[in-house]
Amino acid sequence: MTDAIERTNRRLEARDVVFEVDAARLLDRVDIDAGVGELVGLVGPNGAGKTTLLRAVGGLLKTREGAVLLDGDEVRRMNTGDRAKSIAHVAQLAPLAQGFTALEVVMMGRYPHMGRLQSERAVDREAVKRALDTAGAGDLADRTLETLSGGERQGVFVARALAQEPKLLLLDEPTSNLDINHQARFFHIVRGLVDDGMTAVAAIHDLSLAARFCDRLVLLNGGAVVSEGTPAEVLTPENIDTAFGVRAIVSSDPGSGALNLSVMEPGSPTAGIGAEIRVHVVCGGGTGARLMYRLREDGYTVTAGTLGNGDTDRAAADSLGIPYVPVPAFGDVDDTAHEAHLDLIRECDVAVLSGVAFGTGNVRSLEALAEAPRIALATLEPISGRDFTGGEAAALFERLSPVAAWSELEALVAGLPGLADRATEDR
Amino acid sequence: MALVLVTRLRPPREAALGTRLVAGLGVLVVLLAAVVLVSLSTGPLDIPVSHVLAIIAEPLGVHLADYDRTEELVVKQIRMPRIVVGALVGMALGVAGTTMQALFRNPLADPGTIGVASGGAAAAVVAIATGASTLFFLALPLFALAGAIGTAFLVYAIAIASGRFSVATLILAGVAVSAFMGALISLIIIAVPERDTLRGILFWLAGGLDSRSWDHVWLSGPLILAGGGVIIAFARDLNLLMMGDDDAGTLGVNVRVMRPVLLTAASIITGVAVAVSGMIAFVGLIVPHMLRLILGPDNRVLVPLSALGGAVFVVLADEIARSVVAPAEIRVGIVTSFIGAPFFLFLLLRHSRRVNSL
Repeated sequence: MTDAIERTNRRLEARDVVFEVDAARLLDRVDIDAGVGELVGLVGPNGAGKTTLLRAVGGLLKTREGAVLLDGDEVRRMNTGDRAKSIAHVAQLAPLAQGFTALEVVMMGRYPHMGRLQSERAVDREAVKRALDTAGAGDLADRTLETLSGGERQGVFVARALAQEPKLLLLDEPTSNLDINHQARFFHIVRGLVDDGMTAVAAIHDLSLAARFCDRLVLLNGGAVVSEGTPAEVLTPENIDTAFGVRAIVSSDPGSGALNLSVMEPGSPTAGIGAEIRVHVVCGGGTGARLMYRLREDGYTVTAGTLGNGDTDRAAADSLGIPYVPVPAFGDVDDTAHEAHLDLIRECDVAVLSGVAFGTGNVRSLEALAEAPRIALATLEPISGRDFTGGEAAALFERLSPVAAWSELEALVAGLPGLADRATEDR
Repeated sequence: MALVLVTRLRPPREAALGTRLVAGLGVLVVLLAAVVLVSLSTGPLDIPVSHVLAIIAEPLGVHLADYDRTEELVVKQIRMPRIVVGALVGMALGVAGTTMQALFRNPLADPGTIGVASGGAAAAVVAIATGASTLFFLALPLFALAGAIGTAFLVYAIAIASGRFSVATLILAGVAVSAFMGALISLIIIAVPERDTLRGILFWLAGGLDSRSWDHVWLSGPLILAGGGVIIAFARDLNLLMMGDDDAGTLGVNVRVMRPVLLTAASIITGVAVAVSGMIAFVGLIVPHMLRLILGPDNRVLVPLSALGGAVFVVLADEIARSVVAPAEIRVGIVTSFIGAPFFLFLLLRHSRRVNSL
């Protein structure tokens, strides 16, 4: 019940929204809400209902059940003019009405504020100028829409939305046709508006982009909410697997704190090739994620070496359930960790060394690797290029005697059983 | 030549909405007045412009010049109603063309796009062939009006019967129904036995303003002015509908109400125009395009100016139709097509050049 009380002063509240077309239920009891100064991202696979939900929230759809409230008023009951003063949309690809200038298009955002036969007043012209400037489209005013690039055009449509002076901004994959530079620029503008008190709900295809700019995410699948919360809470490998049906590795960038996602492409596993073979992977910094994923797919039992907090490979190991030795981010490997690593290495049939770079922190991995029954290299790159210890790593590497080296991942996966057999014979 | 000049003009887009509207209105009102005066003075009986002005001014209590009784009769009872009907028809076709092009987001849409013109023509042809048109003197226009509006509703009903309404369904239904009506007309033309009836049909199909009376003005005037007024009042919504249904909806247009309202208004005025003048082709297509090239796409400017532009175009075409082979006449629909078809081709070429330059 405290939950209900806490949410009463949310600007947007949608409860139990159900929308059906023919017999297909496109939205199934969806709840979302958004507060003042909050950017909520809708994520999910194609057909999850993101666009439908935005249209329902904007009052463009007749929902079968449920209610959408904006500051307590039911959106469907507002007349279209009042609604246009409260809610603005920016779509993925606006149709091109030939010949209209950016200024004329943005002025259309003022129509809800003007009388039917009234021409634009000074207040409208000021609002349009402000909107164009805020959206970074001030210098485009006299250009016709068809002469603008995709990014410029989206800027104009944001300006039109702002000219409506809405309380709620609905964005339907507004950047899916833009390059990464314009994507970020677009969301910086939106973020600025939200930080100034706007409420925004955006359907966003790109999960990293969503995680980077949204306060909260709502993950939809099949018209229902799978998960809701902060980006870190929502974008877990389990949720992504449920909604998208792919294995993903989620890690947070130690520098910016931003979430990184990498999706593991489903390979063509020669299933079972690695059964009963134990492979230990010494990796880090994302050099081992794909390797570990592929090994697991082929049925190998996989362990990993020391992995720092926040490391992409650590996130990969976590999401694959691979045992490893956790160490602090960029921290030195202490004796306890080293011992734990040795235990894992002695257990394996083959140890694989990835193209990881060595610094003073992780150089002891090479020391531990000397204890492995067989060593294979997953790269043909010389050690000198990734030795940041002033020669210590290279010296340790020289003492190793790898029995094979592959630069191709698939060749490695296929070749490991041969090495493992020889290792078993040696024992 | 003049058309090329017109399209070479740089659109005075930087001018504010009100300025563009007022300037356009000023130019077109002067043009219309000039064309009307020239039309009133030319014909089998040559009446000096000064006498025409005097005849118009006399009822207002101003005596400008002496004129004889025949001149007054010719101007007031023969030429004036014909010119007023022509102006009304031009207004209707210009406004309906602009409306259809905006509603369908298609530069090739014209007042006949959803079958209004062919439906009206088919009904008129049936009335002529069966002799129903001779029942009373306004029987033919009333038949044509009923056919035009009936066809528009039929096409609209077909489009919404498909479940989810779409502009494409509407256009396709209009094309199909138009083709059907065209076939019906051809069938009747082939089947009609008497020469005179056939001649009547062909005359009507070519579109003409001959022997229009004040009754035709009273029949068409109120509907055309009311329909045009409705569209002018909703010209802003027309702008938003050009941006797509969703955009229009989020910017305050009740699409489900506005589209049928605008479509009905445009269909009624087209039907009325067809009813009193037959099929005058191309006016609704080229007048909006000429004005759009000069003044930009804003319907708040375009709709009222298309009304005046259409009036100027039809009255001018009728003047040409009456004078080039005087004392005989060409049908006005033939004159508008003679100007309209080359312009249409010019637009196509211009368009493809733009496509190539992309």
